[in-house]
Amino acid sequence: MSLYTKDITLSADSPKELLLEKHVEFITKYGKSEDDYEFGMTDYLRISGMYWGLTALELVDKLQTLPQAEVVLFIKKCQDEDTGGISACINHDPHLLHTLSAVQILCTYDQLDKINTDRVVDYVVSLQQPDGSFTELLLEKHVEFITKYGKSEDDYEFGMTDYLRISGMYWGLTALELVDKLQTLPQAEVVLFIKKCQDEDTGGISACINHDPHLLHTLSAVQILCTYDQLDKINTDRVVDYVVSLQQPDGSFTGDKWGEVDTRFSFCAVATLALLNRLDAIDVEKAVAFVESCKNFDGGFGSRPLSESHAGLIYCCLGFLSITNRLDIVNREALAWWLCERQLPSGGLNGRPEKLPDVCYSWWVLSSLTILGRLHWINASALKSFILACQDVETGGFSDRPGDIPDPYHTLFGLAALSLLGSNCIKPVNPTFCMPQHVIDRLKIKYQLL
Amino acid sequence: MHGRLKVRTTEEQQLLKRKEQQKKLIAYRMGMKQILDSRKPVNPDIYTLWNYRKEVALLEINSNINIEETEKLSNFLENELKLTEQCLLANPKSYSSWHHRYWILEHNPEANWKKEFDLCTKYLTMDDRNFHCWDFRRLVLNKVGITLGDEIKFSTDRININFSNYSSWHYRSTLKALTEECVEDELTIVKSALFTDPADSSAWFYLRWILSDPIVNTEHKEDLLDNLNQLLEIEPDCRWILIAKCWLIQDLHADKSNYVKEQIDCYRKLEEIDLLRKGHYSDKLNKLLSAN
Repeated sequence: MSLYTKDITLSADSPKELLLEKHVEFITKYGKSEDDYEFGMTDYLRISGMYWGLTALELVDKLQTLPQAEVVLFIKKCQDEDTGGISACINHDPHLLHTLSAVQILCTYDQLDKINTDRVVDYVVSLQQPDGSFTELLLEKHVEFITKYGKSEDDYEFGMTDYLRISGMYWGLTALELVDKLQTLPQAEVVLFIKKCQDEDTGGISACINHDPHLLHTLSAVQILCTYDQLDKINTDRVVDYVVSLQQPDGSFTGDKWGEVDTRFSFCAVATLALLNRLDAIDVEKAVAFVESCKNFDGGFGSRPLSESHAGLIYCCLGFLSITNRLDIVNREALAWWLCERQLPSGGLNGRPEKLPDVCYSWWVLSSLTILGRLHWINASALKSFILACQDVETGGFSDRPGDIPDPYHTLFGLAALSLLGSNCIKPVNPTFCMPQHVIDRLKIKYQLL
Repeated sequence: MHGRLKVRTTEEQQLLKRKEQQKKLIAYRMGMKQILDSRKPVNPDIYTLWNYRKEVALLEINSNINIEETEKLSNFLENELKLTEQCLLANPKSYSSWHHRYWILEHNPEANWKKEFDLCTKYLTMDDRNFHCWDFRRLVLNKVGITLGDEIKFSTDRININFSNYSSWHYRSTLKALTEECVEDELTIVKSALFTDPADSSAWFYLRWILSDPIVNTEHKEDLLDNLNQLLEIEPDCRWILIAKCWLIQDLHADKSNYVKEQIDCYRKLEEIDLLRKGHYSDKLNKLLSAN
């Protein structure tokens, strides 16, 4: 027999009989004393608490001591209109734990018809993950995080990031559309802001009013307008002119007129033109030749010829080749192997060998593997656990790693990665454009996947 | 915004922090307004401010074309280099700062490229994974007149100091094509890395690349397979050895049933010991099983 070193001893004066009446009194009193500190402080588990008390009473045949009508009404009020789930208490968020407790109580009372059970079923269904598990994605918190981020003009973080505003808008807005909450943002204001950021001289779009135009923000602006179906609100011919003006004799693209060359800009250029249905405006063949010249010994791609492979740039190059229908130049097996080797024991993915995992690489690596038709080469449930662990349970939003400060950039890439892994509550995302699939379908944009 | 640890604070601390941030924000806004009128970097990622500095630099360059004014111009350009240095010390990954530095050097007829080259060497010994610095080194090489082939010694030194350095292995792969003369040396350096720490991934990627080159002959591969089998006896659960063994068997003995069986056993073991990549190994296994 094994020896238990950690245990307690029963003292001689411990109760030896079952004190049924006292227990009934304890539970009945507990539910009544609304001003009690203990009771007041446990609203976050109220419905489950009711289930414990109520079931205990029924087991000793004293259920009638509780006010049935009140309990049922309370549960009814805790059903969430949006999701159908039931929360612990009025104004709290729905959760599967309290949904079960509520259904258990109503079964005991034979009062299931008092709530909308079809919606409860919808809620439970929405929580099942493709691997069969039920994990909790804090969708409502994320919506709140992003909506609040865009509104708080005086917020320190927001105020200090005007130099990347339009891309920031794209991250937040796309994240919201993926969870079907785009309407929480003021569309007309966003579109007007973008219109004001289009540069009269070049046709390019800047990060913010009074800043200079740049290809990164030009793509973000076009992506936003496609999602809103408002492309006619800017001068798209001038956008095409801007992109064309940035192509270099070797086929590469600079980010703006100051000459920085990078494969990120090759992707931005063809993605912008494809969304505007104007790929014909540039020399695609030369553009492809430049991207091909950035291919490395490991099958990956870097920012310029001979630059080290990096998952973010691999995504840009594969996205570029997906849009130009030239994935034939990829060394599929070597690259897919390099990409699946990015998964670490924590389940997270890094961007280069011997680096830390980061939620944004969940997107860069996963979209690349999807384009290559090798998504199944990594462990989806381990990655999902990593991404979910990067949620900020208090404010909503995702951070790069568990315990860090969340931001809209990682929130989009966390949600988009979960979408690629398959999720019932996030809309399908397009792996090439990182935009909702339905937008790409509506615009009839062509892209290649292996 | 990466790696900012979330620290718990009390409401009071938060209020205080918010007040401080509001003060900073007002200062930032006023600063930005002043700067957007007169324009100077406060955050190296504010690309528009770098653009403005380039506009000013172009004015300086065009107005100081007389010989007697070259000193004034080189002082101006030297100050721009110092500024990028400060910015890169604060954020070594700032794309804008690296680009500005190169742009300024390119526009300086008196640029000291040799000094830049030495700075790169020094910086890479401090952080040998910064790909911006590696990219910068390549740009500078062209200016100093050094060919990539001349960099073999630098690469060997970097790898000998630290085998576990993917950036150095990548750099080595770009330096020159494999030839009859150097293939033995390459196999030796990669083998010594693999045998020093078989669990480290970097050299295995390099090995895969070398093996894909026809210059590596059957004899080299047979030797390596023997070496890997010996290594496997010491490290039976090292997945990298099993993976590499499968590459070699596929290359050398794909038509021999006893070897195919060995390959199948390797993939079965990999499926067990490396759950993260089970899908990858299953694909390989199914391909082998359906072909044989």
